[in-house]
Amino acid sequence: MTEELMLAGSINNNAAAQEEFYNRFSPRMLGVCYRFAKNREDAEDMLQEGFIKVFTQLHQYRNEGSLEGWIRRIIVHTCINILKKNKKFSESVDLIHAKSIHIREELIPSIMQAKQVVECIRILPMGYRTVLNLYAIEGFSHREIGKMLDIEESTSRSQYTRAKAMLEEILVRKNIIQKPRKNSLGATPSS
Amino acid sequence: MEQDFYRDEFEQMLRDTTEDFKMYPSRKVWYSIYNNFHPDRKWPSLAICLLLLTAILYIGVSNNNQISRKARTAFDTTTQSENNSPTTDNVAASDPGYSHSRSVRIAANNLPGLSNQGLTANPLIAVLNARESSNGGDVAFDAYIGMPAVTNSDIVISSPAKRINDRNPGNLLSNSSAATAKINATTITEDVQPSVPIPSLTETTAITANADASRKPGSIFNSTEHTNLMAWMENDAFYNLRHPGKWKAKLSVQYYITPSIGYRELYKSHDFEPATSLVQSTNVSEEEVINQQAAINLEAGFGLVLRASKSLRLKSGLQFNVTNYVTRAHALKHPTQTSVMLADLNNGIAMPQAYSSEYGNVLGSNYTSLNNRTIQLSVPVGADYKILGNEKISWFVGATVQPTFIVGGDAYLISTDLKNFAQDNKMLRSFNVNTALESFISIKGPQNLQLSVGPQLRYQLLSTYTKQYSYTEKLYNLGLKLGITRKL
Repeated sequence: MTEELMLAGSINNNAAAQEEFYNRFSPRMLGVCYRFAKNREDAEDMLQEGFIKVFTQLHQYRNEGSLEGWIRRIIVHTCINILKKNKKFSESVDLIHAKSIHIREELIPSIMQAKQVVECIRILPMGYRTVLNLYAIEGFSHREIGKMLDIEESTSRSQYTRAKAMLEEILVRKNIIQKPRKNSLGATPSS
Repeated sequence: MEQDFYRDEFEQMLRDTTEDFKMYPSRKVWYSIYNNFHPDRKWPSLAICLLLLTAILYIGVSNNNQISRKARTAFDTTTQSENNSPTTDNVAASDPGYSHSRSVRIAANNLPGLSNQGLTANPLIAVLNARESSNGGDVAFDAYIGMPAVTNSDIVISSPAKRINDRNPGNLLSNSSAATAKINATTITEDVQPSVPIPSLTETTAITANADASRKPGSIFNSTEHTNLMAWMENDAFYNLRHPGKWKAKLSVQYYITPSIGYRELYKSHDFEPATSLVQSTNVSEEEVINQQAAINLEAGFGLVLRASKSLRLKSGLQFNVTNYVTRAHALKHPTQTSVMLADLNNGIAMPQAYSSEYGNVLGSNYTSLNNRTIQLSVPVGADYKILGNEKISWFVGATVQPTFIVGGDAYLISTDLKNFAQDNKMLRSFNVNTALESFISIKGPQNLQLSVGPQLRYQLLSTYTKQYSYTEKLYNLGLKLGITRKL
């Protein structure tokens, strides 16, 4: 089924088209949700709610940009809304003030690198993880992140800085990336 | 800036690695999404589910295991008519769990529908047994089918024999005039390994593989075979039937309460050896001097009763007692120093011990009642014996020995000069032994309850007080015991 037929059928509430649509995009979208969620069950809940919104708003898609990108934005917003609704994000914002956070590295499975990186991201505290996901991976600006999470833009920047440093440390410890060497000026050279 | 390059590289690395990261959701996610957009599709599924449930319930109810008397009568009629026919043999066999039974032995190749029962080719022998429960409310039909082997003129069903239990008489015997038994052997409940051989057959042609289909079942039997078959049925039923727990059937639980009047017996302890110089000779007995009265006592408890035989029941349990009697005394305006003879447990010599007394042993109209109370927990162990009676009403006598723990109480000790009372609860024994004799009428009540009522005499074997005290006190009470006994 071509994308156009699939899109048209889904807008017309055709079950077969919707299922095709879902099967095509759900694996990647679940990966997106998994980076935001506490566990797989929560991730599937986010996916379910996200796709319901996708099918509901599918008639608003204007072929501006990729369909996957459009779906992804809806899914990400759904994830954020669920986190805010369940107060899972607001509880972890206080963690930015924590002096030290113990990271249980034994949780990281030694499998292919993509999953390793995702699992390392999931180890981060919820606040750090969300900001890092939104800025570094999803490409939102700190201003947009501030509006989405109801925080200051400066808070988003500081959380991202801390999140990135923490993630770097984890990835280096797990030998997923090499530790960057600093030159005499204190800057980290490019590879 | 170099740091910007690195930062972009790091973020680029994150994007690249997570871009291809996929996870495959469970199907229930799709079903939830689907149901959200196609709710109307749910209703046919629900309707089909309801229809299936209804069908299952209907089939289950219409094919239940309860055999009505009418159905059993139909079976009896059928077997009776078959009795009159020379072609069918019915054998009555007793069965421990059932009041009576009938059995029919038929050639198995007359039985349709057996080919798919997992038996090896040509099952030749079938034994059909109908059993009715003792209360007449249940009828069971058992068919034993298997490959027979002839050994020393006995026929044994070789392993494994199939036991088919079908409680619908209509499926087991038809009313056809040919009296050919039909078994709807669709319900196989268990494999049975008979441990005893089937009674021998005198006509060996009955067990040939190609028995004539028109051959009437049962004509091969003679009276010896009938008896043997009956014995085999009894034996098999005894060993294969499920019996209720041996002990549980004999156990009952009993609850009782015994209000009574309690009193005491008081006398000088024989083991007591007061110092000779301190003995006060008196011609007055303590019983005459001390003014005391009986008081209400109470006993309550529960226990298990085991029916050891038709007449004998063993019982044990847990019991709570409150004993009391009243001593009349005069409340003194001021505490008075007095002495009580107490023995030194090391050397057995009695010496007067000083006490402060608030009560005088003065007889008069203005008196205070001192409650000499003990609170006891005991474990009665004993037996009841039925003297006469029937199932509805019986007369029993019983006796128990009751190791008793005294958990609290009040003790008022008489002074050496018999003029004062001193309270010292530490003088109470913590352990004692009581005995009880009772006689009661037991009446069968509703819902399998037994109501019992009758007098009981309880007597304390050891002194209420410790060996230190110079007096020995034995409590006793006479009351009316009311009990309810229920089978477990």
